[in-house]
Amino acid sequence: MTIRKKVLIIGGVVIACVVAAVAIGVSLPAATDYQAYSPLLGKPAPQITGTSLLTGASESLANLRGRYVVVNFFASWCTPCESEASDLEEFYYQESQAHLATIIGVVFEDVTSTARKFLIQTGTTYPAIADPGEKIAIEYGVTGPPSTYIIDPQGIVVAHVNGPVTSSGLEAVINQLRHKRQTT
Amino acid sequence: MKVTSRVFLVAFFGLVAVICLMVGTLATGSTRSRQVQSDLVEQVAATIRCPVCDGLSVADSSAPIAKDIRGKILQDVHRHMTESQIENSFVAQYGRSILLRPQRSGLSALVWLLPLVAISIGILILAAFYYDRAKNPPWKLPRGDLK
Repeated sequence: MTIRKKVLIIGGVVIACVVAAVAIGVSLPAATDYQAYSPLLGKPAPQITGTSLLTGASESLANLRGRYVVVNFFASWCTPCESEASDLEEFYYQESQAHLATIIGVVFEDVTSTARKFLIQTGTTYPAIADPGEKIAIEYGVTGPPSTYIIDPQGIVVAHVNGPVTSSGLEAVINQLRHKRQTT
Repeated sequence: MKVTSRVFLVAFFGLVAVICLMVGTLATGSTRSRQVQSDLVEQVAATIRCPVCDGLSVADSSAPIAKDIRGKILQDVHRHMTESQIENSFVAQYGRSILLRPQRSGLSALVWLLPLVAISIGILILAAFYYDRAKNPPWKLPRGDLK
């Protein structure tokens, strides 16, 4: 075998390895334009329990089974959280009328009193709870606020959005999920 | 002093000595095990990326979430979880990017293996090249030219 042939064979093997590595990378679950990847997707949602910062009522994700639940991690010091607050409230108002979906807010790295003030200032009415020790945030793998997870009526994490959400964006994602469930 | 009293005294001090020895051993053992646990927490914390920082481990970061993650690692160590079990629990929540060094199993193992494969291929190419050149040197003149 000539040296040129050997180099060609070895070069071919190297190129095949690179193509295989790229193909594996491409086949990994990728984030869509709006949604982000999370290892929790398709898995049961970690438990959320706490006391509402606004009403003092006890809140639990388990009690919201049967509806789509939007779990939103926020902080008063986070500017994008402020910009998405009105959209979340609009979504909550529309969906809670029909009892099809709801929202639960979880404070991320913030002082409870400041977070409460933020909720009042932004006119939030949906339940939001404190997360001492960031236990819930760690369970969900939150890397920074705002971070939003959508949980289906069976309690499975079906979508994750990193960054601010809009009312129409949430509607679109949930409608898409509803459509998918109906067709399967 | 009567013999019985002397025997009683010796037995008493012997008992006190044994108790002191046991307490001392237990205390040293517990300190040592606490030290081992603390070392393990530091070791794991150094491999976990702080989720809200840029390229810092939770061991090096002073962010509140880093402190909370260190607390969770300590809890996991108290539950007798191994280093890889703790790392895997964070990977299950955050994905592989939470680790500062790639895992040695699954797809991440490629990061460790590919450089070795590339070096081996390079050595093979060089060996083939020199072997070929030794066999057919470019300066080898055709027979009869020296005549």
